[in-house]
Amino acid sequence: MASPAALRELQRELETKADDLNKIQKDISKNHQVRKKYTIQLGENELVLKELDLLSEDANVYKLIGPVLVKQDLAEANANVRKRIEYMSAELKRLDTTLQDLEDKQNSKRDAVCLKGTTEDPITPGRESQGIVYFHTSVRA
Amino acid sequence: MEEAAKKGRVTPLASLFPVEEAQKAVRRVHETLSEKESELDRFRGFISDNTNLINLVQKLPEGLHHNIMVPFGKAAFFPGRLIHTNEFLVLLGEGYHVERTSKQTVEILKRRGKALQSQVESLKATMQDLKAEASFFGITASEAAEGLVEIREDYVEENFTERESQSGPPKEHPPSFSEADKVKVAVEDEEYSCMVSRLDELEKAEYEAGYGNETHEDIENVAVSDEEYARMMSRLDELEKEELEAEFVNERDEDNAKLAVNDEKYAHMIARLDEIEKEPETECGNERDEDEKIKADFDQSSDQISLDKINRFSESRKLLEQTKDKKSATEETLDKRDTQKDLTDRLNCTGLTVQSRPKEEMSHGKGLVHGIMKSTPLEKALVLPEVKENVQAASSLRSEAPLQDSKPGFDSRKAFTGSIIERAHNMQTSSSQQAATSSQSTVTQPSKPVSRFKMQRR
Repeated sequence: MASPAALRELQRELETKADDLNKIQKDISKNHQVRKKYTIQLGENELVLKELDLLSEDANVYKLIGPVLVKQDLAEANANVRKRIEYMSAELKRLDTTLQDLEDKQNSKRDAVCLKGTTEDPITPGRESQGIVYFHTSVRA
Repeated sequence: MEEAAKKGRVTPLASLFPVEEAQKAVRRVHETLSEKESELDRFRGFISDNTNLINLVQKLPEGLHHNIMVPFGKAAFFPGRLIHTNEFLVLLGEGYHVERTSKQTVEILKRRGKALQSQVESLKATMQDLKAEASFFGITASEAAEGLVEIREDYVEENFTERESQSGPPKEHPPSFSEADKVKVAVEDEEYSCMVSRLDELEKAEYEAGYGNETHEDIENVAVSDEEYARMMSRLDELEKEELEAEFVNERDEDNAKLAVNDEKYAHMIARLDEIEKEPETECGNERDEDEKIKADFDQSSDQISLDKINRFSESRKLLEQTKDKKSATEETLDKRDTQKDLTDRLNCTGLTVQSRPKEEMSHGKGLVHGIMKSTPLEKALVLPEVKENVQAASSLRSEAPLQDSKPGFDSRKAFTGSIIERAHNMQTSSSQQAATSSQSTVTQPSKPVSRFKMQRR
């Protein structure tokens, strides 16, 4: 008969692993959000650049900084927008790599947890299996 | 139907796609679909706002100044005047504004409108895909719920020749035309599809062999695949023979003779084309001279063909109209389909421009092929209505390929020209016999340039 202490230990391990996995999942979703924001901004900047290119040299460009509308040079505005675009593309790439790492970690953690779950199952069909079931549903969601 | 002893696996669809899961999938897809729909509505709102703005911007410069109620804070207005009616500060994005006139502003707004439209289009496309997915899931769910079962059987190929002889005799007792037709069509279709797939494999093998190895190996490969191909062709011939037996009880001799004539000619033409394709395969297309020679020869034959054309055409026309049963037509179409498909496959394989040579034949043939190609993936039942059109084309095709004089007593069962090489020569042998091997390819028509190459190959 499996000792209750060993059982509890296994249970705790399973829970910690599950927590880790949850954390990773949260990171992934945050990453997704930030990526989305950056993508939208990047799109907007590209539109602005297109319009600026269509302007003639003597057109007045103003930038809204807070409550102030500041007159800007067309060339300067162009340069600024281009710089922003570059910066944002670099950021997106960095985020992509982080996302990939996180996903890999998540997969490995998930496998480990599943393995743990199945080994525990024959011992007690009670809480462990429930924990596993709970875990599975959360993962799928 | 024929292949009884097969190892089959019966899997209920429910086990592959559990009902609840399928339904859940359907629900999920519906949710995403509704999300996309709300986004679509938002986009539509943007587009309408944009159009309203364009109208306003166009209207403002009509006056030097306008008297308006100016908003002041969150909840107040005061009367004021709108001056400089042609000057607009347009927000480009990211806090950048630019001074523009009314016309320029309208241009900017129109460009924005176009961008919005393209986004809407892409969104609609995604929604379409989602809808298709949802319908698929729905169908699967309902099927699984009904208890639909998937049956898989292995494709048994080894006892091919045995099957040929076995299924031959049992088919000779059709109770009535229509039933027999349908049964035979179904049976034939199955065999036909098997054979076609086999042919495709062979062709692929030939093709690969042709471009990978030396000539000798090629010839061997070609010869080997030819035999198999010949076997299959003979099998098809047997099938048609049985079908024809059921039909041509009375009119056999006369009609068959003339039909056979045209078929033969057609067969010769096809055989010729076959050779032409095979030869370059073996030579890796290096010796184009030979090809051209062959083509020149074929040209000559096609000239001869055209001379006879007029006579044969009317004859065959009459004949085919007389013997126009669905059955024969089906058979002919099948033949055509088989050979044509074969032809086009081969032609495509080798990339030869032989197609341009027998212009008349192939232009007709191509038209046929297109019609036939379309029909092949469709239900075989559709073949029957199509058959009537094809019969006419078939008759013209056959008339255009008159290669030899009629052999009296020729069995119209041999109308099928699929077994390209043997067929032409089987005419000379007993009419009741079905050509089986290519050993009988002795040509007794020295006037034709075809013979030279045939003898070479055999």
